[in-house]
Amino acid sequence: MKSFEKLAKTIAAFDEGSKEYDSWYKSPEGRVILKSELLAVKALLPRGQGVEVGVGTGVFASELGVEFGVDPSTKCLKIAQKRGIKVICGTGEALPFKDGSFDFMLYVVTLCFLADPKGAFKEGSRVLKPKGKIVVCFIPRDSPWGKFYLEKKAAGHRFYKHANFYTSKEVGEMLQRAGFIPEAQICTLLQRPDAVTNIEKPLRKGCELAGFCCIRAEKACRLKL
Amino acid sequence: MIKREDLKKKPIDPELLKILACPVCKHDLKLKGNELVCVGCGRRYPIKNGIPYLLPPELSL
Repeated sequence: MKSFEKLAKTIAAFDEGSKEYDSWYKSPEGRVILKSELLAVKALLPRGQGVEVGVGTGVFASELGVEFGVDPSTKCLKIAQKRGIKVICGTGEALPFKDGSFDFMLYVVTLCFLADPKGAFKEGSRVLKPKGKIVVCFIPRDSPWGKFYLEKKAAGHRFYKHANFYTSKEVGEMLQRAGFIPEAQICTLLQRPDAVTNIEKPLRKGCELAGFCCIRAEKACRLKL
Repeated sequence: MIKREDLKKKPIDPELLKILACPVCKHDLKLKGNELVCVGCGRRYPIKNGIPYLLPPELSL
């Protein structure tokens, strides 16, 4: 039950701060970070029918052409709906979709807010078609950016005080335990987190230095014996 | 893009309804008025302004 209490607090924080969260992407720093992150996600984005889990206000889904979005914050979803996303109020841990509904699932800075990441990835696998893809984008804990956000968490930041951060190795292992085979990795934001000036092209290496790392993995097929 | 007039006709996008399932037991959902009802466990989920509220019971509004 503790995980639901934690999740309820995270949802309340995003409901209260939905406009602040959305307007940050329009700030000079937010625009540069968003454009860099979009380039990275685009490099790994699969084709077909997709859903963004933790769609928030729909900034990424609308820019990337992801049709569906699920999130437990209703205030954020109303903004995402205005951006043209087909939205559903639900959680990543208990996805309200039929088995085998999607070609791909996208999680952009959602993992850190999940109460049960392993359970959520298993749910992701369930709603994916055979050989469907999962793309998980996160702030690596061991990078300078990870340390920057850990400081925000420690200082009681509105959103990040609820977050748990992971290294790229941990995320890869988590995906494997949930039945995925990692196949590609990309990262961006190698500039310092306190002095962001340039839109960056994504790189295949350097996750331990990056502010934004994406791992794409394929749903493993189960052999019928 | 969801148009306001479409929402008046149907409480939920038909494409969305095709893929939705009960978040608890994962059975199909049937549209009844402004609610989605699970054909498996009978749980009822509201639709408000075109958004289906499919939270697990521990987080329900």
